[in-house]
Amino acid sequence: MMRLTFLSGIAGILIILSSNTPVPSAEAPGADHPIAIRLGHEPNTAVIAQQRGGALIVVDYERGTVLRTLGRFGTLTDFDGLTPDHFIVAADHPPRLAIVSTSSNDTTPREIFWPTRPTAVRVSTSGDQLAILNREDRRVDCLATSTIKSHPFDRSRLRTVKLPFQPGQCLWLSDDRHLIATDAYGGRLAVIDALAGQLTSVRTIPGHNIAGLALTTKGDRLYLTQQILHSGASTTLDDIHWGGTLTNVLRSLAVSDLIDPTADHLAHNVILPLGETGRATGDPAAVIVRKDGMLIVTLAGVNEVALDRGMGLEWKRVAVGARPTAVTLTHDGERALVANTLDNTLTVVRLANVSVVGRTISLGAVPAQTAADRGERLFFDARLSHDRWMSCHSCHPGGHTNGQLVDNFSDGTDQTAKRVLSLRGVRETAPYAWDGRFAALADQVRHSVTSTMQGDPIPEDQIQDLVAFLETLSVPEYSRDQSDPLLVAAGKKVFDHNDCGQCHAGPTYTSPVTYDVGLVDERGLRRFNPPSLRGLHSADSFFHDARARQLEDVLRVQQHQLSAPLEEADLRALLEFLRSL
Amino acid sequence: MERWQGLLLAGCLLASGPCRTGNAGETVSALWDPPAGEVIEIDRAVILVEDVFKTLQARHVDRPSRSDLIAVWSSAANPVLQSIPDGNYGPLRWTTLFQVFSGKATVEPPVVAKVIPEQMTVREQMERIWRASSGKEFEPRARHLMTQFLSQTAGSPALFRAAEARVERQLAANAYVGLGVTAMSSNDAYLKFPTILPGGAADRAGLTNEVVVLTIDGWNTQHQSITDAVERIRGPVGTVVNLRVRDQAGERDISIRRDFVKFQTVHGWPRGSRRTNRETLDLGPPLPSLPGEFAYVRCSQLSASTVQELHEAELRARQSGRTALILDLREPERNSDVKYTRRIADALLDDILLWREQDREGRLTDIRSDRDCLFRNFPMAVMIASDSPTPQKLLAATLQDTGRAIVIEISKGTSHELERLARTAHTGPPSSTAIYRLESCSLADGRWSLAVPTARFLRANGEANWAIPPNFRWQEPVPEIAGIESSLRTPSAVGVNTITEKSPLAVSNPALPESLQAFGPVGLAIAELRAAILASGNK
Repeated sequence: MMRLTFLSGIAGILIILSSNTPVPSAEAPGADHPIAIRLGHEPNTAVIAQQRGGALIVVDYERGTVLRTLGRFGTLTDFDGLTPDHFIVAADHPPRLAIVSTSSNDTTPREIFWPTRPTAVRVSTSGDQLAILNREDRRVDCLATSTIKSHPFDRSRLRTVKLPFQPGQCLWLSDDRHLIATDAYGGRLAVIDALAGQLTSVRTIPGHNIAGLALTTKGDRLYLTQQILHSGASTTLDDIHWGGTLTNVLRSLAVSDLIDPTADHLAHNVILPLGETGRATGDPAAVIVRKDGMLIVTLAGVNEVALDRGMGLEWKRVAVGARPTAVTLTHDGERALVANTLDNTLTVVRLANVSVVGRTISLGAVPAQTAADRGERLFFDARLSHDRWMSCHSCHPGGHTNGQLVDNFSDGTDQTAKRVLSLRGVRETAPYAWDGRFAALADQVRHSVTSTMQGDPIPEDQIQDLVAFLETLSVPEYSRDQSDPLLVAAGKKVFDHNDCGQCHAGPTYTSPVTYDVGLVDERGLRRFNPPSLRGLHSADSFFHDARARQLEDVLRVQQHQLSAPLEEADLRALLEFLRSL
Repeated sequence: MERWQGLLLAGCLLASGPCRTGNAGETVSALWDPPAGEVIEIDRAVILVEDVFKTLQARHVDRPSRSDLIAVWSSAANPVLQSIPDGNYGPLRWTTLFQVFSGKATVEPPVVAKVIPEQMTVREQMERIWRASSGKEFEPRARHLMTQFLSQTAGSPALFRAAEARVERQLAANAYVGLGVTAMSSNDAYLKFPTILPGGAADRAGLTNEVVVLTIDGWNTQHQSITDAVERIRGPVGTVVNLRVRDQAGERDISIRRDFVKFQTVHGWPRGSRRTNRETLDLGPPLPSLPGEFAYVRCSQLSASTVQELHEAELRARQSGRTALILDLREPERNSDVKYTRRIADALLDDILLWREQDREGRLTDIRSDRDCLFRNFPMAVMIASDSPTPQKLLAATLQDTGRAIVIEISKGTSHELERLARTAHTGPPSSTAIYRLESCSLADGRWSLAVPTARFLRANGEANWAIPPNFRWQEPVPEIAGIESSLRTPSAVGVNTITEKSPLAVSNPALPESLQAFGPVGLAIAELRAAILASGNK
């Protein structure tokens, strides 16, 4: 089975070369990665979290100046406001939370040990409730903000809810009780009764890459930015051209349908398409709703912001910086502040006439770009695809997988849609494609750009930049909290006893040849390139056609390469071993 | 040299179809009618026929054997071969030939059957046909032989020149690449663009209607074949064609980048005037506005762009408070492809089995819709014509099968249609309604492309018959065919297929409230949707 079904990007009519959307170059700035933005407590200020910079930046958006930089928290994953001048920060390396004051006379953060990596934090509108997401652990912790503010922190007051998927975003509903958490990669939503600490329901929406959430002012409708990879379509130019392969949308759901677990959550669903043929909008990201109903969406793959005053029929767009992923309104609601992740800048957009105000605000010095930095920009750049419908990230969110099937001709046939594979650890898993036809990663990238994304060929140095970025993608570690060493050791024995390593040989748990393991695709392909087993704990679909949706089903239902069903104890041990890889 | 007399589309086309000089039959017949100066070779024809046979054997969902195909071929060739007496055949008019092929006449002089086609090889058949033409021009009676053979083969495979197949695919996908112009010859035998489509590449480059094209990439267009000129104008998207043009401003050189030519496939309710029925010159009085709760969507093609356009139509319908949908699939303006029918059915249905596809190995694949559903909660009526093409019928049948919509069939009132209705009255629903998925296969010499039925569509209930028993029927009056027994004009009539002289045209359609009568069949859709909504509310 293939390691790389890569929808990466290079564009049909290389818009990359157009004058207003310059091709990323070695001189382009980037590094600190602003990823979230909130208004500051002082007039005309905003606070921005820098992921790699590991700091909160307080910016005067009227003057276009950075007022101060707060803390160095390792790698920031998210932040939110507890009070107008106190923010809770989620950080990694090591995992922790921190409460930071943006008042100039109180700059010492209070750090809170957090055993697992917090990947998102969200405070309810009233400011009374807090949710902390842990992606790899598939859980959300809910608590009152008064609890986190107290010292020492009373961990027993946490209400932990386990989720069936890896959460990416969350949003409190206006009742201050229910929380919506989204699948970081696929199309699932969890509805959580935070006060009861219960998972109320899990809903599936068609699509993936849910990147932004917002409520209407009345709180009666939920907006989500997302993408939809359509079944039955393939990555032909015709299909991509009309959005038949992948579309970018803003979805609107009735909150009442979500809260009621017996209701059809799509009963009052409305889809607002973003972009159109000739001017598509790969990778919509953040969304906010102004009090008058105006919708503001960042289009991260095309470096633009779009806004609409009503039903999504009159979108107006304006160019901003590289990969705008976060947005908030100014205090007067007349402008949008847009954080541009890949060039470390802030853009102010006047909403009345959809124009950029003044100069783009720099958020700090930018170090020299490496090949991987340049490759990262290409990876997230929808301008590499025909008409800008998609970037590599569109099917490989953050380098992982959206878990969907796509018919992209990577194995030389059509009507043989196959599962998109994670790119994590791809550096060591050659050859590529489900039938192993690409010996080198660069070959797969080249094919993905011109065939899968129907983009124009890109220069060889950009291919190498993309490869350099892909080679930085690592497999996340299995949570030590969840791992049972004894069970893992027992599972290793089961793995060896069943000779699983013949195809999935350590340390990469794959091998460079193809095997007939009893699987066959629609065109008769029987020999598959075995995917690496590393990172299985973060996988949600298995086999070339995603016929198994849980790791357990691979062994229990599909009996994959087992001569006889495993004893229950052996099965549990083997599963634990596989998850530990 | 062929003079440009017709109107061709170079980089776009209007309602009449793709850039070619006639109907599908003539495209195929080009095989037998090579350009002037080209030597006619029997070998080439035989190789192509054999290639078609091999491809059908290898790919056709029904797995026909060679003998099956020979039998069909011979059946098609039989009238031709049996009409060729020994020696040369005398002059024959096309009209007579048509009557011969349709079984309505015999030719003069009488033809004596002297061969038994089933016992001849394809080569022997060809040689006989060639001999009959004295080797100079292909025997006219056989011009449509390949077309006839393919039309008699299950699933109606279609043979195109490779270049035309590409254009067909582009058109079906609404992704035609070109300049956005129509083409014909000028008075001085140069190429002329009589129409520049708004928004197309030529329009953006500043060309105006009636511009004369003197050269294409340095190639002088005067006295050249229009087909050749169009072929030189075509090319991949993004590539540039250099023209020397002449218009009111004089002569100049211009470079134009080839681009996609977009056609609108989804249309709303016509405002101000009645929508043009190409068979009706009298447009009649302006149509009234639709009742406020109804959205009306007409699809002039089921193409790759249709879903995108339907999204916008839905938003506009919701914005204006519409709550029910009339989907009009009549009067397609360009060819559709069942591939895109799937997309549209998926877009209009919520998580349900649309149909099944059965391949050569007998494997069944369920084709399901996802959960996204346009016009969700809108009661729907679908309007189709009795002679609607397969993709439209597939969509209508699927919407009906799934309970999503009621179907209203409109017959145009032609004599042919009235005869069909009369037959239906006697024999029950029409029978012939298998639907296949066609895939393009390149034939060996690369000049031809064969669209082969590679899968059969089965309805959700497993049936292969896609006949649509409409929920309601409507018959459009067509005064010029007065003369048909009036009883035949009533859909439910079990009349006698008798033609009477100048009997009055008295169409008998369901009675409509006075307020809806001006809408014609759309009024029927409104009335029946209202009734369905009422019934649903009463439950």
